[in-house]
Amino acid sequence: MSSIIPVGPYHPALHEPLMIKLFVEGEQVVDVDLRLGHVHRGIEWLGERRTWIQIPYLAERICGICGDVHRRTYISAVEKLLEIEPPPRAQYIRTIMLELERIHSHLLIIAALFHAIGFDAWFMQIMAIREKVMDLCELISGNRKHYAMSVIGGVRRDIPDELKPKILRVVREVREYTQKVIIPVMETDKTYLARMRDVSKIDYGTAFKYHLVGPTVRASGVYTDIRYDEPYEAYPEVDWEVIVHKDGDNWARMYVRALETIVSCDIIEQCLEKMPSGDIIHPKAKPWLRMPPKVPEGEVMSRSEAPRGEVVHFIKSTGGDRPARWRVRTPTYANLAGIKPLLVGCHVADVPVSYTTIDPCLSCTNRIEIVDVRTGKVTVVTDAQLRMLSRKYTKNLVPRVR
Amino acid sequence: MSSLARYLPPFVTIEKDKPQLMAVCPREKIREAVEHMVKQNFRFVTMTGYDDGQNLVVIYHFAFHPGQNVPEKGTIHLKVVVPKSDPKIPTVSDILPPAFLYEREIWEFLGVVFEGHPRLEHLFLTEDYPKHPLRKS
Repeated sequence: MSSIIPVGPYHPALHEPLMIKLFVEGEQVVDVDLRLGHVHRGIEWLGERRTWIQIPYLAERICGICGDVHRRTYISAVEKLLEIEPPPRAQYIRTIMLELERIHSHLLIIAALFHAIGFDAWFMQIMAIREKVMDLCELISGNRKHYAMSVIGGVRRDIPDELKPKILRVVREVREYTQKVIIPVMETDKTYLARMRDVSKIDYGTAFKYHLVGPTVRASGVYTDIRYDEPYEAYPEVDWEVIVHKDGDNWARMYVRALETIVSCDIIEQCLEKMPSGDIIHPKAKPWLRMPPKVPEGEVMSRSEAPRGEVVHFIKSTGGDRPARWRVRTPTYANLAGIKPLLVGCHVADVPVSYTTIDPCLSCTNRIEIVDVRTGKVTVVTDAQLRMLSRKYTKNLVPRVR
Repeated sequence: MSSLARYLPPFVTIEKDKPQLMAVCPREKIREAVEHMVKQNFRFVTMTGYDDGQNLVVIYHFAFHPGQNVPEKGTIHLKVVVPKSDPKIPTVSDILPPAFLYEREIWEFLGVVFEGHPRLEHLFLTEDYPKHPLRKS
């Protein structure tokens, strides 16, 4: 006989609300059900009522962490219909911003994971490093988030030469920290390994069958990265490699993210070195900073690799000053299809950890009701209690850990 | 004609190949077409639905990936057009597990009924939401 644990919808630690129903037998999860839409804002409907140049601001606010990649993906879709290309310098600047975003997003989720398994000292240290990246973004764009850098046909702000040493300093610091601290901890810490190794395994076949995206699928050995599959901006011009790991467990998913942070640092360094001089916006595109263009009729899809995976924007234009349809598919939406193979078979105490390793941009667990289906008794468990359960589990694994 | 057309099943008609290959598939053949793409190891990206005024349109997006060992890069789109008076399409959620959520979403926003879908229920909106919000008029 299985019991149902409804998890969610609200939870302050993860970013957004989601309701997961866990069907459990004892401590084992046997089935999962989802309910989305607690923060449904009708952005696609709103987009059909905005002009081509108003939508980027809306697109950027789809996500609070990876906003810039949404803006870029939307703008590149419009650029494909308008058949213009941003100048090379603009492409390099976009790449730098996308990679800075990837670094702070990966550091955030690594920190959140350490928090979930009870390593709060690591959580604070990693967040302190991440803060330097956020300050850097503020220095470049004036905002910690929502950089508003890309515009149709180019970028809005230049990266002046005097900022380059500052960017390089932070990037080197992040790389050094990742190489000397985060990766050794992941590779050697016994408690960490005990919690992460062989938990919530997704094998190659399942990952491909469910068409998962991003680091989640790369950790299962599937070689796919939109930066490589369909290169955009300055990625074909810099030297970098796709990180793939074959293990497919919680550990591999986080390890891939840590290695990707280093790759992002390399990409930024190369971009700063190779960045050509010249215009930052296509001359034809300058009037479109203030006035919406007439976009030719057509349907086009644009893809980018966000920190969490593949972002898809689809646009249908009927030739006017606004789209007839604007569809967005975020990476977490694709990864939620794989939540069943991810959670089925693991312990209840592993759920917060396994769930964090797909880097969800939706979320859960403010309050959990445990409904015992046999007696109909409802017990309300708070997030703190679930977290305590997770920490107690770590403690049982290694008695010396407080 | 684009060389990508050789990856498509024979019974689809190519609508346009710029900027991306868009092919129209009759709705009774869509399961066959999707199986054809899955056999060639295409990545299923997502599904889009929209209302073009007269008809409802559902697009199945597929993408090339390095695991296929083919020189092409980019995306291929299969389109199914159904009249508003009879908005029914056979489900592909048993062939492609991720379509389970996308089909629910398209049913919710446009009212396209996916025949054979195991759970065509509300996903994003409340259970008693009165209409399909992305339908025009």
